[in-house]
Amino acid sequence: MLVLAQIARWEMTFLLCAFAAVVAFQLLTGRINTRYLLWGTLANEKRYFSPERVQLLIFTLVTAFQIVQQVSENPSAAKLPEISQKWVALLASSHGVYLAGKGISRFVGGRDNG
Amino acid sequence: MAEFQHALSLVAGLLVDLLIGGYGIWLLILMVRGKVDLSRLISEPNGDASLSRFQLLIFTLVVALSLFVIVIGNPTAPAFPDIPGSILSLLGISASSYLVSKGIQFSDPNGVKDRILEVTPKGIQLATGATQQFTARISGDPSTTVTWSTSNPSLGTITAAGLYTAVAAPPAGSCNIVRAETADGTVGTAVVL
Repeated sequence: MLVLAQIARWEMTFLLCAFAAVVAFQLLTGRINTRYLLWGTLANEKRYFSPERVQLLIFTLVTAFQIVQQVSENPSAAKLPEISQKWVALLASSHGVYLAGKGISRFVGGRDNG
Repeated sequence: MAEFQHALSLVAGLLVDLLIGGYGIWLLILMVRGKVDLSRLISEPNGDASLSRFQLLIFTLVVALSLFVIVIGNPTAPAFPDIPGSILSLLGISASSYLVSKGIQFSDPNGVKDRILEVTPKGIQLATGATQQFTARISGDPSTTVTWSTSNPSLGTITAAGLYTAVAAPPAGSCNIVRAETADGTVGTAVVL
């Protein structure tokens, strides 16, 4: 039974890594559409480069990296890694800034005049 | 009897493993060949990429992969690991942000518009030998690049720049359709009589 578990382990590891590699490759080569990922839309349908999206992307990538790093350091742990409450609060604030920016630009369009 | 049960469970496990592995490899091949289209994985209906979808995708994949790594990390007794409150909070924030983001979009008086490719003029009647310049534009995207084609080249041809030349008059009751298509598959049409 242990041999079967080993086979399944290697098979799933290969498949998941391959899926992740395909998605990452397609993102980096533009086959997965990332057009206007960091751009917002004003009420008058004009676009603007959106710093609130940039900060959210940075916080998201840093948090994801933290989780991956902790898991890779201790893959035989009995539970998923803990993230500090301060960091969770920071991430929530980042999302709040993103949503506030999106709401303001959509309904007020305050950036229209520059 | 116990040995028979053990052998049976081994065979059943191997079959399930082969089935899942085979399906995974088949899916992988389809993805690499482009048969499973991932191009709009994080796109809105209007064709723009969405950061709220992207961050939800990242957290979902990272947490799912971490769970898997931990499950297979224990070689003797694989078990479903505990999920700490901070990870649940993180997933909750991510999903809530996505939902609120969609709420903002759909609360917009303008709503979420489909990506529409406008071809002008929409319809025109041309004499044989006459030419007509067509233009194609997506609202809010001044740099629209399209590929032009016609449904019946024996009635009329069109250049890469959108200049249509009427080769012959269409039979009564029919027309030639001018088609513009962007790289992401958005299509717009016009009619030539």
